[in-house]
Amino acid sequence: MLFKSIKGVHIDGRKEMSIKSEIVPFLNPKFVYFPTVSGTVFYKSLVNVGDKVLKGQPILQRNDRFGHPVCSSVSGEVSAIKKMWHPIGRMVEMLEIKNDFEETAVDSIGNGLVELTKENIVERVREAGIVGHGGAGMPTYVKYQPVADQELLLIDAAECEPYITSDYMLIKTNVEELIRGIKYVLIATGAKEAKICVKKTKKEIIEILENACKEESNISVFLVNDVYPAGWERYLVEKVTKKTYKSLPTEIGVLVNNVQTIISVCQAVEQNMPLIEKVVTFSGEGLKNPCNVKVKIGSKASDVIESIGGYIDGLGESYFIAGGPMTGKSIMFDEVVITANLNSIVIKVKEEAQAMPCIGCGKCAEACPVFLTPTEIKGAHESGDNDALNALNASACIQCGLCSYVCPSRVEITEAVGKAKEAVLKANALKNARK
Amino acid sequence: MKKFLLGKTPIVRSVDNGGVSTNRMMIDLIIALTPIIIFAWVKNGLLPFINLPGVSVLSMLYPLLFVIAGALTSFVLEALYFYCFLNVRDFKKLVKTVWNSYAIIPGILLALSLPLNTNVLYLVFGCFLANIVFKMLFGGLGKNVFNPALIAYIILVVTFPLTNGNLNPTESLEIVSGATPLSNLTSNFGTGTISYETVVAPYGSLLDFFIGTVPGCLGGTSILLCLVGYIYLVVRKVIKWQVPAIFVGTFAVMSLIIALVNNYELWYVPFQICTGGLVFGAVFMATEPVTTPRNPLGKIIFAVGCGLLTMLLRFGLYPDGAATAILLMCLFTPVIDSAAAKIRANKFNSQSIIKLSIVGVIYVVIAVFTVLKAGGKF
Repeated sequence: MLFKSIKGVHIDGRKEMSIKSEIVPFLNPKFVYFPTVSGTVFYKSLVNVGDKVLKGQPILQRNDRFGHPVCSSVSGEVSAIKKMWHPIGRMVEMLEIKNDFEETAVDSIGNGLVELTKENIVERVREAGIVGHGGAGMPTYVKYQPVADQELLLIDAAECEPYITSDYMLIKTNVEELIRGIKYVLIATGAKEAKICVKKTKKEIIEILENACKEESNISVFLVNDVYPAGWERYLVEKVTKKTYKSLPTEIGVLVNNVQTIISVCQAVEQNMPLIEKVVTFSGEGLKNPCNVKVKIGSKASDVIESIGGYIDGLGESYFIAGGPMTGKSIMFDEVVITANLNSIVIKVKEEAQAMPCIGCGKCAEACPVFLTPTEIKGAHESGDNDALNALNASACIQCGLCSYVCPSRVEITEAVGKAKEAVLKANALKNARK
Repeated sequence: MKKFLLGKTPIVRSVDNGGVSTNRMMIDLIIALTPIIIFAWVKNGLLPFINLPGVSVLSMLYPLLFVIAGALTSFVLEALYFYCFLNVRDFKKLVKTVWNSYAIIPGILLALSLPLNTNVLYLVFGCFLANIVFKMLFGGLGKNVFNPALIAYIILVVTFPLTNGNLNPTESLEIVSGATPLSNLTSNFGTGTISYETVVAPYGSLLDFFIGTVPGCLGGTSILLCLVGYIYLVVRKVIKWQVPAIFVGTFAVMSLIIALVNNYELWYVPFQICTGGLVFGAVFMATEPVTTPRNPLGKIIFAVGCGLLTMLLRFGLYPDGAATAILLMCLFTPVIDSAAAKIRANKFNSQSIIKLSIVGVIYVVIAVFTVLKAGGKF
């Protein structure tokens, strides 16, 4: 409608599958891999094949204005440069490091930060190579360098995609680190207050969080509805502040960070530990023992899956999703490398289903968090009408997947809108270039 | 290394998690219509058979057979079409394809909209119009431009002498020579007085109108059962509550204004609502997904337009109003859809305000014209 704020749609979360057991460690991969290119981001290699590397040693440097390093997660030897599957869905060149299982770390690890100033903390975050743990993997230190001091820090613990429970488990086990990390980030950003946003139905972790925040005057818990996309940055900012912004929440003095990002900041500040390990949810009906796994960044997903018990017996046709089932990427092979911004792997068994024609029920338009009308966009794209696509705001689509999710006829409408968005952005760029 | 299928995310679907599927929606629609079908049979067939002598068994069964004939004809006609023109030759596949095309729904809706003593041959022709001409020839399920049942109904009413067959044997004994409540109202509007005694009382009380024991089309008389169907469909998430509610609500406001302007007493409002198949049309026809707008704002604009037009057309040639109004609004569905989609996506910019103002002005003009016409000024 015209004036409503985003309602969201309740999705069956299937979270019980992966919270039955504790976080399982997988910290002994034979090989780890680090991509030299990730999407449009290029990295300069700091080592050569044959070099010995220590755990935590920078081995790649991002080759643009966001100059942060990527550190090796194990000690060993750079054994090769080869093409491996990246969660983005393509094979890219990666540095292969052979683990010597010694876990020899660089000397700098262990030094806690003595002077807690804004500049020191931001520099630590940069040196640790911390990136956003879900989504695009934006370098975190850049987020802490806005023009002015921020007002509010929001911690995204909503975890709205089905199957993913890494934040849930981390809060259960590491809530003190989270609180300390929040305090460091408050100093780094100049924000006065922090709110941890969690779904109102997660009673267990609400209790844990509220206990942890009892003594803190400026950290509190904010409850959000159990809907998708509750974890979307814009949804959280609008629900908490009741204000809206154009493109970045820093415009209204708000910053949003992931739970794992904050915990990584805490480890960087207190132990000078770079980003080399993370918790990834391995879930889905296709796995024998779905659970959360603490992995060395750079491990192969197939190795991890094998170590936790492998696939179910007689696994038929299924999908391997890197990321969440709503917004992730379907990949043909399970030898995908776990990068810093991957938070789940879902093995989904194929459903026997029959697609029907679109009957025009309008559920997709109702569900869209950005108030688009997918059926109109699909029609305008099919007739190549770029003016209509601009008027319909097709470029605002966030590819959340809700339109396909709610469709009673199983129309692949998210894909259609995605194509329309791509086409109109291209057409607009062309038109602007000609001017 | 294990190999997997390549798919598109999202890989989860509400349909697999207990959400409503298209198949389920159509089945629920048929379930919602069932009480109305049974009521139509009981009121027009069973009760006259029980209470009056000389009513044959065939007359008793006729209402039920009529609806079943509608459903069957639609099914068979579409099956023939699929067999002859779309090369679906295998029998099992043919049955499945025709079922998935939801052929019987226009047939049932058409049967329920027609006057009860209609010759079944007219129904067969109507099903041909609904299913073949206005649905299959347009491309099948999801591609029709007009609501098949509605346009077939209108063509039948305009072309053939159907308006005499509105009364069942129990009704034709006392009532004003063969007229339906609405045609009675129209004739009184022209020449007589409009009061409770002349308009409502000949047929019963307002409660009779609500329950449906008054003359009218085969199925649309029982407001009560239409409401039961409405609640069922909303609860099952087949339709949203807004379109029928706003349609009837706008209509109610218009009839209230007319009643106040012309000094009719307030019986006028429920009377207008409970006649002419308004509620039946609002619940089952105006919510037809293919031909009505596909976004929330579009649906609201559509519903208001339907309400206004129905009132206007009640003072026109064919007193029912609702069917023609819905059909007229369906013609504007693409325009409404496109405009509403752009307004929704861009919220409050100048384009949106201009578009909404245009719609507003058009609606106000229609409303004013209607009130003037109702007051006998035209």
